[in-house]
Amino acid sequence: MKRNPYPGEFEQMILLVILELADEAYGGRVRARLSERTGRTASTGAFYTTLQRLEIKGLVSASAGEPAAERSGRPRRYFVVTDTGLDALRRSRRALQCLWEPVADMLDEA
Amino acid sequence: MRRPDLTERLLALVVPRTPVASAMHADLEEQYVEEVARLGAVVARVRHTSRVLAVVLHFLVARLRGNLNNGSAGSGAAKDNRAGLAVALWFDLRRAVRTLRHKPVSTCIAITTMALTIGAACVVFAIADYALLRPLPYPAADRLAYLWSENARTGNGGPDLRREALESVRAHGEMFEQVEALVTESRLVTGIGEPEELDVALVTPGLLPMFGGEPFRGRGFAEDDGTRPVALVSFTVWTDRLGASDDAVGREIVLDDVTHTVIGVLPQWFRYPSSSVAAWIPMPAGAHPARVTPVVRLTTDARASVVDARLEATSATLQEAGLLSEGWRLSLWSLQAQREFFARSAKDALQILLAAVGLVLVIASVNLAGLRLTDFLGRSRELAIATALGARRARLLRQMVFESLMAAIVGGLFGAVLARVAINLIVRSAPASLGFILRAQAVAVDGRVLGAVLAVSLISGLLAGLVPALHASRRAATSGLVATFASTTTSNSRRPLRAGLVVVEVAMATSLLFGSGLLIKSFLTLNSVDPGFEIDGIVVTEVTVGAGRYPSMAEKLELLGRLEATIAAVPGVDASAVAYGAPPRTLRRRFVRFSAAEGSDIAGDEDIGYDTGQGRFASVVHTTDRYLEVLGLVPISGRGFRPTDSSEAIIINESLAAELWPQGNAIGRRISLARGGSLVTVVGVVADIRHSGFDESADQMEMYRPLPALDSGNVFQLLVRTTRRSDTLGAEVQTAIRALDRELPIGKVSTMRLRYGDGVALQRFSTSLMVGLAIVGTLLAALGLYGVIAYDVRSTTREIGIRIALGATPRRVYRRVVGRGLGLAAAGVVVGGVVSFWLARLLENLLFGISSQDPGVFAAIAAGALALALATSSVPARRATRIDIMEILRRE
Repeated sequence: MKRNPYPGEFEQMILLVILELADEAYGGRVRARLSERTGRTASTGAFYTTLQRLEIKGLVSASAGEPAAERSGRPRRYFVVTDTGLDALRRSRRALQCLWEPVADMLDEA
Repeated sequence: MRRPDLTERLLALVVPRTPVASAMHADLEEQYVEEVARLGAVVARVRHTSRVLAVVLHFLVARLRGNLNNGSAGSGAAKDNRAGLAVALWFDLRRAVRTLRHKPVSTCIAITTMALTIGAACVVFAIADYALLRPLPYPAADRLAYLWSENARTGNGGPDLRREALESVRAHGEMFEQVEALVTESRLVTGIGEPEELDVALVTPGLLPMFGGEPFRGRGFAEDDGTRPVALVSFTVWTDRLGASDDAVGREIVLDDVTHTVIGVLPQWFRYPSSSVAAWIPMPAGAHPARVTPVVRLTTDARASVVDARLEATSATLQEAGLLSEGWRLSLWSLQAQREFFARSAKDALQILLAAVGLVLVIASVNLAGLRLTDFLGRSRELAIATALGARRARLLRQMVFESLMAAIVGGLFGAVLARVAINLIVRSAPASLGFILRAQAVAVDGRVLGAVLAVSLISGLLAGLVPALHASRRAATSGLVATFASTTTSNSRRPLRAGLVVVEVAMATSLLFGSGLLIKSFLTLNSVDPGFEIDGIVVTEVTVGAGRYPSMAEKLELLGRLEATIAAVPGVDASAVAYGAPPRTLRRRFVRFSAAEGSDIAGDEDIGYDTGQGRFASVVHTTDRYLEVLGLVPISGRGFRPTDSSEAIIINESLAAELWPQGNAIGRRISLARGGSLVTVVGVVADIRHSGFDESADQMEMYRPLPALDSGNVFQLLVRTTRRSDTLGAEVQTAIRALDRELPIGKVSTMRLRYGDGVALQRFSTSLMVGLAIVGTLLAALGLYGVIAYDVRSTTREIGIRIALGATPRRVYRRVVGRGLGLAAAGVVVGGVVSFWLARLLENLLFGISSQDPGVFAAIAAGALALALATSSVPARRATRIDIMEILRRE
C-alpha cells in the first residue's frame, strides 16, 4: 500500500479525539466524543473500519484494559496515537495552515 | 445483561475476526447495556438492532468492493471506477430511490396504478390457481379416489356402497393402500348457540388422517371411538359457537337430541368433505348408515390396467355375496377428476378473467411507460450532461430501468396487501360450484401467489422502463449537449412514441369494455327471461322438519298444515303454500317413473321417464292446494288441487302432457307411477316453467302431487304471495313459525326472484369482476390520454401562444387540442374494435341469448370511449386557451 503522508479528514478527527481523551480513549468513548465535538454521527462500521486502518498504518496502537461484565467479560481496547501518528498530524496541520492563511479573512465569520 | 443473540450471530457472520472488530462487538454491547438503563429495554433493543444492521450493511458493501482486508475504503469519485458490478448496482438502486422521492406526484401515480392492477391480477390468479391449478391440499392427493358403483350399461351410479361391502373391498383390494368411508347427514345442532340444521360427517377412524386432518386441539378418533358419542368440530364452529376458547375440548354439543363430547378441533384449512361440514363423528356400529361413500388411497405402484382388472374381480365377488346388484360394477373417480368436474363450469369464466386482467396489466405497464418517458425526456439535459462527462449508455439505461422497477415492485407489494384484503370477500361471494372448490381450501395470498406477483411486477417494471429508457438514452447519446440545451419545444420525434403508447392503451381498454359490455347484456338478457310464472311478489323460506322430533311423515304433515294456516293469517299474506321441491331446484329434484300398467291410459309398454338412459325424465313437486295460486299459475285445462283431493290426483305440465298424449285432452287420464304401482289421475294441465333457473330450457317434464303423497323428506319450502317487503314480512313469518315450534330450523327468508338470481350467480360473479377490470383499464387509459395531451400542451405553450398572437381564436385552439385527443382515441377504438371482434369468440360459452359480435354493444362502447376522450382532452384544451401570451413574450 502506497503510504499517504497526510491522513484523511475522518482519520485526523479520530486521531485528535484519541489524543484529547488520553487514557480514556476506547472505541465507544472516542466515537461518542467525536459526535459531541463535530455534531456528526459517524456510522459504526465506518468508524471502526477507519480505526482499524489507523492501526494498520501504524498511526495508533492499542492495548487491552480490564475485562468488564457489561462487555460479556471482554476487555476494552484502548488506543494511543503513536509517534508516527503525531508526525502525520503535525504535517497535516502545517499543510492546512499554509492553505488556510491566505483565505482566513475571507472565511472569518462575522 | 447480554445483548440479543441474533444480533451477535449477524455480526459474527459478516464482520471479519480482527481485534478491532472484537472491540466493536464489545463496545456495542456496552452501549446497549447503558441504553437499557437509561432508555428502557424496548428502546435500547430497537436502537441496538438498527446499529447492528447498519454495521452489517457497511461490511457487506465493503466485502463486495473487495477491499475489506486492506482496510482502504477508497474515497469519493474513485468509488464508481473501482467498484464491481454489485456495488454499481447498489448505487444505481439508491439513486433510483432518490430520484423517485424527488418526484412524489408521478411516483405516487405510478405506484397506485401498479398496486391496483397487480392487486387485481393477484386476486384473479389466486382464484384460478386454487380452482384449477394447485394440487389438492391432502397428502398424496393424486392417489385419492372415490369408489363408485355404477350401472354397467347406462353408466348411471354414485359414490356409495353397502357398508358390509367395505370389508370385502379391503380384503380384495391389493391396489388400495387404505380404504375408508364417510356419510354426510344433516343434523339439528343445539346446545351451542342458535339451533341450526348443519352438515355432520360420519367417518371411519382412518378417514381424517388420510386427508391430513389432524386436530390442533385435542385428539383425533381412536379405533374404539365408534362406541362413544364423541365429535370433532370444525374451525368455524369452534370460533362461532364455542368462542374459540381453550376449554372447547370436553364441552358437549347435541346432534339430533344425542349429546356428544367434543374431543378435538380441526384446523381452519381442513374442509373435507366440504366447507359446510360442522362436525365429524365416528361411524357407529350397527345398521345405520346402511350405505356409505368409500374413499380409497391407491398404492404408489397401482397401474390403471391392474386396478381395472382387480375392480372387475371385486365387483364379481360382491355380486356373488349379494352386496352389489346384477349388472352393476365398481369404478374409481379420483378427487382430482371431481375437482375438474366442478371447475369446468367456471373454467371459461376464469380464463376470460385471466385474459382480462392481463390486458389491464398491459395497460398499466404502458401507462407507467408513458409516465417514465415523459419524465426521462424532461431530464434530457441531465442525461446529456452525464453522457458528455463519460457515462456509458448502458449505465444510463440501467439507472432509468431501475426507477421503473422500483415503482413496479413497491406497487406490487401494495397490490399484494390489497389482494389479501379483497380475496376473502371474493371467495365468500363466489357462486355455487366455484365457491364449493374455493371454500373447500383455505384460499389465501400465499408464497406461491406472491411469487407470481413479484414476477409480474418485475416484468411490468422492466417493460415499462426499457422502451422509454432506450429512447431517452439514445437521444442523450446521439444529440449533442448544445442541441439538447438549445431545444425548448417537444421535438416531433418524441410524439409518435407517446401517441403510439396511448393508442395501444385505448385499444386494450376498448377490448375490455367490449367484453364486459357483452357480459352485461348477456346477464340482463338472462335475468329478463320469463320463468313461466309470476316470479315477483313471492317470498320463500325453508323449514327443516327432522325425523328426530317428528318421526313419522304424518306428524310432519300435521305440523306443516298448522304452519301453512298460521302463515296464511299473517297480515299482508294473499296466499300461502307448502311444497317439497319448489323452484329453483338443483339438488333436491325427485323423479318419477311411470309406465303402462293395467288400467293406465298410456299407449304401449315403454317406460317413460327416469332410467331410460335417454336423459328424459319427469320431476315431481309435492305441494299443498294453493301452490299454483301462489305461483300465479292458472291451469290451461282442468283445475288446481282442492283440499278434498286424495293422493291420486296429479297435475302435469304441457311438456309431459304432449309426451304422454300428443293428441291432447289429458284431463281424466290415468297413469301408473313405477312398475305395478297405484294409478293416479290427471286433474289439471299447467304451462311449463323453468324450475332450475333462468338458463334452464322450459321443456322439462313436470308433475305436481298433493303433499300427503310424499313418503319421506325433511326440508320443505314455505311460499307466500304478498305485496309486502320480504324483510318485514319475513320477520313476522319467522315469529309465527317459532310460536309453533321454537326449535324448528328456519332458512333465510328471501324473494323468489333473488333465489332464481342465485342460479345465475356465476354469470353475475364473472360479469362483476370483468366490469371492475374494464373500469380500471378505462380509467388508466383515460389517465394516459390526459397525460399525453396535457404534456403536449405544456411543451407547445410557446407555439400555441404564437398562434394566438397571430390571430387564432380560443375556440380554434380548443378544437385543435381536443381534436388531437379524439384522433388518438378514435385510432385506439378502431384498433381495439378489430381485435375485440376477433377475440370475442372466446366469450361465446359465457353469453346467453346474444351474439359475441353484437354490433349494438360495440357502437355503444365506441361512443362511450369517444365521449370519455372528449371529456379527458377538454381539460388541457381549456388550459391551452388561457395561455398568457404576454408571459411567453417576456420569456422570449
